Amino acid sequence: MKKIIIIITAIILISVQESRSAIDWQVPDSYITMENPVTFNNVNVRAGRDLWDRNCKSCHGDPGKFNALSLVPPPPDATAEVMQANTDGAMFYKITYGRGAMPQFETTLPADDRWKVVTFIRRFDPRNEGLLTDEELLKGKIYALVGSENSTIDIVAEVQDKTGQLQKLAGSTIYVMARKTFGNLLVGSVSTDSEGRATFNIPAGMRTKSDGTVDFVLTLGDDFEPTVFAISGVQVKEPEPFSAPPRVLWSTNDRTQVWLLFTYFAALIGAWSTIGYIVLQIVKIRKLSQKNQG
Amino acid sequence: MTIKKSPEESRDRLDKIFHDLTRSLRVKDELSRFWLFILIMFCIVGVWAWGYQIQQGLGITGMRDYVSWAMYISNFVFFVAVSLIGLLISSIMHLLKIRWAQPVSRVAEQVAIAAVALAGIIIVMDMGRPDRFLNVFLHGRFASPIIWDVTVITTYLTISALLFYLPLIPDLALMKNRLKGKVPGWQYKIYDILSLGWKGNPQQFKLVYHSLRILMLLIIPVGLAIHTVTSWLFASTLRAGWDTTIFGPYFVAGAFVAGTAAVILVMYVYRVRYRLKEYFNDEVFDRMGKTLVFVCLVYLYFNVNEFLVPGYKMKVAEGIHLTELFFGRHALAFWFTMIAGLILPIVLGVIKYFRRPLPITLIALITLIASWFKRYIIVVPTMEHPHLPVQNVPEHFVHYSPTNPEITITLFAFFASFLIVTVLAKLFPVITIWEYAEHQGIDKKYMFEDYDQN
Repeated sequence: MKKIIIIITAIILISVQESRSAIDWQVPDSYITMENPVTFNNVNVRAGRDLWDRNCKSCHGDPGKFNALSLVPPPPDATAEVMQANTDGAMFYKITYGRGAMPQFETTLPADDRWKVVTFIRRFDPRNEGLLTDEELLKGKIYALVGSENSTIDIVAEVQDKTGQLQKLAGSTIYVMARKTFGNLLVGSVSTDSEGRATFNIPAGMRTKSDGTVDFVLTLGDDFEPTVFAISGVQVKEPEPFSAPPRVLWSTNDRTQVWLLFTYFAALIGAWSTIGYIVLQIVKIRKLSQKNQG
Repeated sequence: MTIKKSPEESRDRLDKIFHDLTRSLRVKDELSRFWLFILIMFCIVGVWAWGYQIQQGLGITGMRDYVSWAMYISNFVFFVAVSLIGLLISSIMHLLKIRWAQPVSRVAEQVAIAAVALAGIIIVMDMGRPDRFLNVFLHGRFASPIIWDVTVITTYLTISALLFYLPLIPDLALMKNRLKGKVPGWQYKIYDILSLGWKGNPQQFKLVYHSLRILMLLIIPVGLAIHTVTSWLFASTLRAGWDTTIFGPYFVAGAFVAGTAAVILVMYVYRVRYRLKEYFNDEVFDRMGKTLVFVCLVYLYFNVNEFLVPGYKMKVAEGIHLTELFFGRHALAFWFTMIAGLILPIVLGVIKYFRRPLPITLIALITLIASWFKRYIIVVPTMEHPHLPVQNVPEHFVHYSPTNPEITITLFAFFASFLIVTVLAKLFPVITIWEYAEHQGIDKKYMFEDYDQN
């Protein structure tokens, strides 16, 4: 009886030790004291959120919803105490090198992006509460024209100031996208000059629809209310010559394999020439009877 | 058995054999007239139903978009299967010099010719536009097993007819010599023409033996091909239950079961009707019973393969298919084919008592019926379980049930094949006389005067 109790106690202790070791993730001192070079502001938090959605959400879930995958050890929620107990440097270390089911991002995300993820996670730190106020989004407008020979897009951007007047939007990024079947594909981006103007050079080799056109969609960055300006049917290339394959059945004779034809005709000719030979024998039998008669 | 007999004894014995074996030609009583009347009436009704189908279109059958192969195709596969017995008995057993199978070989050829001829007709009856039948040849696609099937059925029918005819030539000469005035003029004329003026000299016999040997060898690949290609019609699709590589041998093994059962049935009818107890004796039935057990065991082995392998994998569509077969709508027919068509002949056939003529014939009858349902079970349930969901169609599109014209046309095939077998039995002896007599120790010189002269 005593022995059993000892064994059970030992098992419980070992398993506690095991689960403790899962939480206990040693980070070198040089990392613990590291400071986050990324400024804690709305832009960087948004960038961090996009990175989180793409790289972390599949396991860690939505921050605050505690809907992480049930792995062992469990991936903590971004708002969890376990997560926030890490220093910025420790979090950066864990993202960089990973361990067990947590993958490393050393080779897949640049250091700057990894720090942005840390910045995003810090957004849920209770100590940072009230530090960031949601800025009101700016109201912007884009106008664009296709330039000479359909090789450029000339863009003018404006922004509404506090009094509601439209001002030239200087030094802002305009994103140029192409509309595809399943969504918009980013082609490139340009910055507006002091006059609020920008010229986007359409890449020469870009993929078009079969008629050679592209539907362009221009948008402003995240600081603005959703704004799009669409230019449809820009003739970027000559239309491709029509080359739809003719509608055919899969097994027409001109597609039949040679060996298949050979097998068929070899068997056919083989069998029927043998039958022909037998018929000849029957004719011979008949001739033999006639000869005897005569 | 093969001890040479004295001339007088030989002549007496030959007379008796000839008399017994030509009894089928002479029997003209009420029963045979009634039998012919029934057969012809059913054939006429069947042809009428077919005409009605041509006029109204295939819509009068139970076939719809999903189940587009049904009773006709099952029937076709059944008849192709039955025809394969010609290969086993008149070729393989002959080449192996299996003595007891000799009297059975012409019965097997009769069954083979009737079955394969009907198989060809059934396919035409399954066509919505039979007037376009020639397009199969004119626009046939060689990557499709359909043209292969048409080709191989035609070839098999030709070879079977030749294999029936060649050993018949000396018999025809015997009948021509002995039956003058005893049979109607037209019948005698047929014997006269078909016997080719046979003299029975050794060179002629040599030619017959030579040709028979070649035909027996040729019919082996062609016979295997006929049923293998038929199985490809199914196996070259991706449907659940058909998409397997063993379908060729599976069909061939099943064909021997159906064919052996059919031959036992026909043999028993001849034995009783034409009083051929001495010829289709207890030993022949005993051996045929053993053959039935053997082919059933082979078929059972393929069935185990056919159901266990998809059963292990349980792919979604296969799973639905197997569940429907084992416990669902088709369970009754499925277990009937399995138990009555496979287990029953094996379990009873190993007991000597059940291999006596009457019991084995009853077993063969049940096996043959089960074989027909087996083909139905192969064709219809798979058609009812396509890979994509069946939706937005009326109920009668989803589940197939045959209509009356369809059943009438299917029955036509049976009665027409009985008719062919009956006509062949009424015109020609059901056992090769000269071969049988020779096995009884009667020298050919007592049968054909020219045999000695050269």
